[in-house]
Amino acid sequence: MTGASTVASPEGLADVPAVAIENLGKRFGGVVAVSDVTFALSDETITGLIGPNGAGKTTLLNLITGYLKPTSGSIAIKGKTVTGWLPHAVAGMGVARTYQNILLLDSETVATNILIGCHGALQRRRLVTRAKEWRSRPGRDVVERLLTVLNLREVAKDEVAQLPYGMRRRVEIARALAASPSLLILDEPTAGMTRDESDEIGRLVQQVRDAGTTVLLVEHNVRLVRAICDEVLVLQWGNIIARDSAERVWDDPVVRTAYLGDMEGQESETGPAKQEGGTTNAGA
Amino acid sequence: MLQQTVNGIALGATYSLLGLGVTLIWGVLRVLNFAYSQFIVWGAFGTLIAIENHVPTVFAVLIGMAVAGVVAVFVDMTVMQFMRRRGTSEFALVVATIGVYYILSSVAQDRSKSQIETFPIGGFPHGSVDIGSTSLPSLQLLSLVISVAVMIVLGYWLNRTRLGRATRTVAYSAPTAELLGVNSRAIFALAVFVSGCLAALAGIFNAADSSTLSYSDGDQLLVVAFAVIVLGGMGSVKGAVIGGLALGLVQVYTTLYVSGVFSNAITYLLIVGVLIVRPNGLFGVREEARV
Repeated sequence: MTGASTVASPEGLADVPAVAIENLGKRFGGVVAVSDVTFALSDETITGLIGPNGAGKTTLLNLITGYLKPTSGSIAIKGKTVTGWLPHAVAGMGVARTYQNILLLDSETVATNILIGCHGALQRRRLVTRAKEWRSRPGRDVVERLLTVLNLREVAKDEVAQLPYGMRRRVEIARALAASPSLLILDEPTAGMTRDESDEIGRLVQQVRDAGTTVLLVEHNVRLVRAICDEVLVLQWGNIIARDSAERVWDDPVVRTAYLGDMEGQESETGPAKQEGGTTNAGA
Repeated sequence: MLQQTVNGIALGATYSLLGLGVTLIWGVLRVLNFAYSQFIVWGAFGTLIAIENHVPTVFAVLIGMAVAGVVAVFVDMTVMQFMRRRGTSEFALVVATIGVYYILSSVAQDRSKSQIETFPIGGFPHGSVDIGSTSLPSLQLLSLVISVAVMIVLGYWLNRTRLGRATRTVAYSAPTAELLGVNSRAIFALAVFVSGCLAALAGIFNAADSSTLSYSDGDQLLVVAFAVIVLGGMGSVKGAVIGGLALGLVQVYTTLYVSGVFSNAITYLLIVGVLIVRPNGLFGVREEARV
């Protein structure tokens, strides 16, 4: 296991990680969901977070976003400790996310859902700017851009509830991007998507990173993780058991056993090398 | 007939105000707030006390609205917030609002020594305005104008502003709204404050109309408010306005053409009839689309 945390250097903010998590723990009664997790995410990188079901991935995301309060440890966003902060305050630090189970306002249109995502970014504007832009319906330009980028223009005025699953996923990603986040957390963004759609999302996530956003990606699609992630964290039973580049992490026997299961001789058939183009069901 | 229609619309305007306040609370907080009855009364008492202290009527009305708004927020941030944090059921929250109702009612009753007080109407519009062949009391015309204005402002706020969209998001799901950067507690407080102000307005118009004020004035109005939002569709702004106007018209018509004694009975039977045909009310919205 790697993942020693870095903290703000005396030289300044340049070395401050987008997220720094130290000794983070979460218990639900007697169940340990996350145990003593420590890692830091560098700016403008895509980090994959993988692990079987029940590994604690979503719990970890909920801790980072303030939806859950940790039992122990600390979380810092851009050098500022946000442990115990309410979710809206964490979101105010430029953290946006999507969800494993899509959470959209089903009775609203696609455009309105994306516009709602602008709330944090609009709120962060200075009062003078707000006053100047009051009549120009701020946020509309962001919505227009994201409708194009996410290929949603044709359904902009459609009720979200009427859309197919893959398209709803794209709306949720658009809503997260509308917040102009510095940290984007994606929880299985390509679940239920076709290969082409997944590739499209992969390219988009890379563009988002290149534009200066740090991305934490929870994903079961091994092909996508290998293709776009700069590094991968592997979580099992609430612990980070490995951290390495997207290519090398699969060579770790601990990861192969933990993530792909104890294949006992079947590994050559189902191992990572054989999974190109497929979505592993390990842990799904 | 035309005169009675005008009277019905004027009566319905006050009912709409009541409905708008309750529908806002219900849409955002998902609780039927029985203490709303006392927000109506406290708002009117706030105005009464201000007038008694020689505050100009317009400012006295604003003070009454502020009193009810602040009391509503205080109740929400103490009792309701505490119970919500504990994960209390909606039914328990309703019971808590009944408890708050009795506390506020007792204070108001103590202040008025259980008597009906005279509500000074010198500063309110008086006389009547001729509209074609009909005549409408100025006070009711003002009530109608304010109701329509409130509806337009509320509609604009909810649909066209950032805070309005945030309010709708909180109404849909407070946890989701929080993760989008919306401070749900602030939105709760804002919605409750606006709701309290609307309750006060309705209470003040009701008191000015009868020139009297009692600590129990809100009881009957609360029943009307609940009827309005059930008829119009719970959580629907448009439903609250149309529901209020419909209720006012039906009450006036039944009083005139059927019987004053059975007016309420017939009105509520009609509401039951509407609900049998349209279980979600006239403009009922789906569960996730309130406010």
